[in-house]
Amino acid sequence: MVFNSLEFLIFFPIVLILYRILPLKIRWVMLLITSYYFYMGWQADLLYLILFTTLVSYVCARKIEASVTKRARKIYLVIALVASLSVLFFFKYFNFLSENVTGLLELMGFGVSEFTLNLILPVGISFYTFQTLSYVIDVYRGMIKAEKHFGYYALYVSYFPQLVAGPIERPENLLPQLKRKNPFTAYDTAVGLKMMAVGFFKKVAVADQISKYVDGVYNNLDKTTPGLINGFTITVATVLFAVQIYCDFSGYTDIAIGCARVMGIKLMQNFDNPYSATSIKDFWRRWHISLTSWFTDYLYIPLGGSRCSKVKHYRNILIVFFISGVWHGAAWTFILWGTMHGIYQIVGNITAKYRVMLWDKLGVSQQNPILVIAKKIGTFALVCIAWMAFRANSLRDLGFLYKQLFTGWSGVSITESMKALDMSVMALMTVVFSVFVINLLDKQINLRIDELHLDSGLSVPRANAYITVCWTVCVAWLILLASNAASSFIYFQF
Amino acid sequence: MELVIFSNTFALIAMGVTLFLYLLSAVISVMQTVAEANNCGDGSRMLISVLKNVSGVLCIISQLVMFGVFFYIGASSQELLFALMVCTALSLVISAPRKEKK
Repeated sequence: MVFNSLEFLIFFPIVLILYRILPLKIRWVMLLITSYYFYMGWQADLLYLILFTTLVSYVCARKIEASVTKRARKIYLVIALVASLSVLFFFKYFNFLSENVTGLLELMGFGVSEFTLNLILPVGISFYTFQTLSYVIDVYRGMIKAEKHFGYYALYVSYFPQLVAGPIERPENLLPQLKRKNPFTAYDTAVGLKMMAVGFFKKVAVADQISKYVDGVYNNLDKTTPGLINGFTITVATVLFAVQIYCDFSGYTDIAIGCARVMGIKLMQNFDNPYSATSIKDFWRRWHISLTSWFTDYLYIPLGGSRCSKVKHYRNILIVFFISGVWHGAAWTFILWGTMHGIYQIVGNITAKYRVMLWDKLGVSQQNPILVIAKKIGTFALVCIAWMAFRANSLRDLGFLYKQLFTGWSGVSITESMKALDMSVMALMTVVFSVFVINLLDKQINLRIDELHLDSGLSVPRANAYITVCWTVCVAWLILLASNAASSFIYFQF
Repeated sequence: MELVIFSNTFALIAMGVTLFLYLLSAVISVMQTVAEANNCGDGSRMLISVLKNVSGVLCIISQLVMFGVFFYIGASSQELLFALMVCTALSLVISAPRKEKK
């Protein structure tokens, strides 16, 4: 079941009513059943994978806690890691690895027939696997106690708002909240509903409206007249993709956080205005925060982090971003995207000292607003260049896109290029306004919402703002339904 | 592509009235900020608050009328979406919450 479907609009109020009327003792049963039902909306036959991962991690964590020797603890940790990662590897990476090994053997002159399995990628497998891993590792490290109640643990893994695309929650944050009474408060409900409205706005009124222009370029590189795919077209399509993927993913997160908040549960923040970052390092502090912090805690720091030689530090950065790319998808384009971000960070680290020296020599303060804006634009440009790898359908396409981006600027006609994008002036203006609206919404409804004076007294203009947001969502939804263009969330495939 | 909303008199009037009311709301919003900064009396604050809410209600009504006109004259879905985006942006600017003073 996707958030942007009619089924969810019926499902969520029913869950909410049951959540409020059922006694605390049996609330978890209802939430667990409804969470599994939510997941079964996509792939009922793959529910056993969640059950398997949940059971293995639950049992291993209990065993780790009960074990006296370090060796026994380690063995159970390895069992949990191997079991969870094997499932992830098999369903997500087996065919990719098989295709590449076959291709390599063919290159070396061995006649091997291709061996791939007809596997369906289970929705959200990377998310719930990482969530179970963080639980087992935390129990192993002695940071948390193993959960005794299997039902609550199963609910922690499969709690429906964040089951398929995060935020990747930590046990110390989510588990206690699932056990709490979470009484109804008008404030939590209002904040939750507002966040859901913002999420739907980002997804339905922006991301889905933009996707057709991006797809028009990225999916038709062979079909479109070659002259029309020039540097300008690719630049516009890539900037639009940057907006699309942000609105798609942060829209999902806003809906997820909003759903949970209506139930009185606070999920972790996943985005913090990423495109206002002044460096790539800063970008990763703002983009997919739950994944970045996961990699920091469970991979980067265990590898040695930055408290080692420079070479090892750079190696650690590269490993983390390489694996981040692999995590996103079984394709070389994703791996390249992750590696590019790793290289950006390493180059950024190496040149940081010299850049500061340069600005000092020129007498420009680091807080100079023009410099800050230049840094933001530069960071956004680098992020967009990497997004091209993320969005490209193949390495071949990516090569063509990069070639055109850097060389395809001679004789560019903006009018002709806009035709290739199939974008009217009105559509372009709508996108520009929607970016402005999202910026305002993010400022108002970010998790810093608790600091804001949101419900002080009656304010019709404030109510009007959210009525208009909801109205825009309805109209945009109708447009999508009429053109049969409503789509799932991009991050569901990971 | 011909833009219906910019070539129809009724649509232009509806847009003009809506924009004027949003402008009025913005002015009242600024007045409220100034009144709070200068520690004006409760009477003035209440009056401004009432004016703000009244102008907000008028904005909602004029917006509804405007979209009714758009539907009536057969504006395209893209035009409707554009007008909605503009209204959302304006309403968000006017209703931007302020940080609570601690």
